[in-house]
Amino acid sequence: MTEILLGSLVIMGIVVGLAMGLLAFRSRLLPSGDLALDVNDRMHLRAKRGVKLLDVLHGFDIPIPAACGGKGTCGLCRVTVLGDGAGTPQATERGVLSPRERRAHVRLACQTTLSGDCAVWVPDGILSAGSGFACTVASARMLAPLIREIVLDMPDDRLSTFRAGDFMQITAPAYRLDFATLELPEPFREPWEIAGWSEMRVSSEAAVTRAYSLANRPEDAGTAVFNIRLAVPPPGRETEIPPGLVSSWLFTVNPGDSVTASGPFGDFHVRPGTREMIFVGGGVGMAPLRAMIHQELGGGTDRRIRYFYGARAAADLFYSEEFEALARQHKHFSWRPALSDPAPGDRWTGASGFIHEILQAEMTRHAAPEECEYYLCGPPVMISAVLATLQRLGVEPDAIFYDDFGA
Amino acid sequence: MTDLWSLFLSAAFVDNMPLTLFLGLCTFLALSKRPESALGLGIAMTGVLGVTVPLNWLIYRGLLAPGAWTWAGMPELDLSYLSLIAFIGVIAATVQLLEMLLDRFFPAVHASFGVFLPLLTVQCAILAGSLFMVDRSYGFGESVVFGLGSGLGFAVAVVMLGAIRGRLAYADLPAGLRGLGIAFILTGLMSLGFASFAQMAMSQ
Repeated sequence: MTEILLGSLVIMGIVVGLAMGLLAFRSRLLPSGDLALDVNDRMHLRAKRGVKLLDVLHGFDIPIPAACGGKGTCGLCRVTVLGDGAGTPQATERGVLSPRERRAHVRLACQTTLSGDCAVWVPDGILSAGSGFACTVASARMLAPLIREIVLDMPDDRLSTFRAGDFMQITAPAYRLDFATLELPEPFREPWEIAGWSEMRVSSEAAVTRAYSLANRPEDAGTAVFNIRLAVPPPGRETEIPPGLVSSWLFTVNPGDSVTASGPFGDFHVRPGTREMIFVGGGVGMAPLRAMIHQELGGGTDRRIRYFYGARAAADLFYSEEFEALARQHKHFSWRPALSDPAPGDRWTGASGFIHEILQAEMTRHAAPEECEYYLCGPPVMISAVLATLQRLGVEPDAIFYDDFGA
Repeated sequence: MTDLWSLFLSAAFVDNMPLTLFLGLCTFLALSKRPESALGLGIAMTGVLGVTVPLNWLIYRGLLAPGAWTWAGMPELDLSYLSLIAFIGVIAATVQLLEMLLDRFFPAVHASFGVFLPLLTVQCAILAGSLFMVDRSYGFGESVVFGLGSGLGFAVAVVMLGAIRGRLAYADLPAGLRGLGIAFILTGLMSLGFASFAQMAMSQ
């Protein structure tokens, strides 16, 4: 008995002693108190030590975009930081930032921990954008089993700076959702039952923000059109892993509801020039490419445009009639949808296979694939497959522009 | 005095932690890509071993060893089963302290360590230092010398490997051997070299 008692006492004594010693050293060694943070030489903020720069900026209503939620992968939260307080770039930042950017003191706000005074420069548009604004849902409809089109009415002239390819950030409030209660249109109920998505539940304790590309056509002026894909967990784990926090919430909004958005932001745009343009999209990679193609065709371009779009089955293919009509209307535009896994009932007569295979088959017959410009948007797997294909075709990396959803 | 000196030499060379006993190989291989980070690791290892071995000696002799509680009238009390958990606690605290010191005074070294500094907490060579100290019934002076000696031996070995790997950056290696592959082969060759120290110690 004494052995157990004394043993526990000794261990507790050692641990408490070590902890006290460490705390004493910490109060001696690490400086405490607030630090000064200058933003664009205009705002002078005070912030706590040891906090991520992104959180500080968001706390002061500076809406730095962060599509990946601060995981250091999307590279959208690039800011210029001067001063010792920001430390040296982390390994995660070195993967995203180019050597030139690192020499210019560009950092990822989400990976920068503040340990002293420093000065930050953010794009002026972001500073004046404020913390987002409320807008109303004009319409919402399901396009595919997991894709929903949401149209938001934009107050004032919020979209006056919009360029095709831009994205906006949407904030979902704290909410709770049981997918069994979600009302689905008839044609989509069956795939949901089969996949077990109706058993999913999700709850979010705090406001969460994600970025979504705009799918606006010229005639959509005054509204913002989004294609929202529900981020579902891997098959078979529907009840363990919750689906995407913001995409789930956006599946519940109805016309008339209020949504908080900010933006538009972005640097994925069509480059001016005369070269032929090849668009390659998959899933909701549709959104920015649709905006770009409409902008180009609507602007009366005479550049040759091809649009390769990959979906799994006919049910996942949307806006198809729209692009068929465009292809009939414009001689220099061609629409190349392909299904990777057409269902027997689809009666699919078009191309089958992954979109990078279709692209390769068509572009090997092209006279000069290296003379074209490539705009890619889709899931990361698709992007890497297409990049490998383009490399085989001899396309230089500076003719390829892509947006891989910040993954 | 000569005893302590020979203990120091044997801890550093004959019983070299990574190359003779193959302890602490994970950090040994991971942080030896460049001589600078290897030197940083070597200094950190020397510091941590030099502090934790004597500190654990005090804790072991004063609280845990059989007979440590004779003064309180409990000569048969044996708390040595607690030594593993107590040693790890002391090592963790020392590493934390080291991390704070580096962060405050040498931020560049701190950044080059990255995740490997907290990992020193569970580095086997460091725990082995304390366990050997108990096993071989060292005195306090001996434990100081042993800790510093084995730390220095680790530092010498990792800086040597770092220097060789730095040079290999210019070598035209077969693709499969680049990186860790050649590092393992180098470690093996170096450990053959260190085996000669054991031979010298035996023949004396």
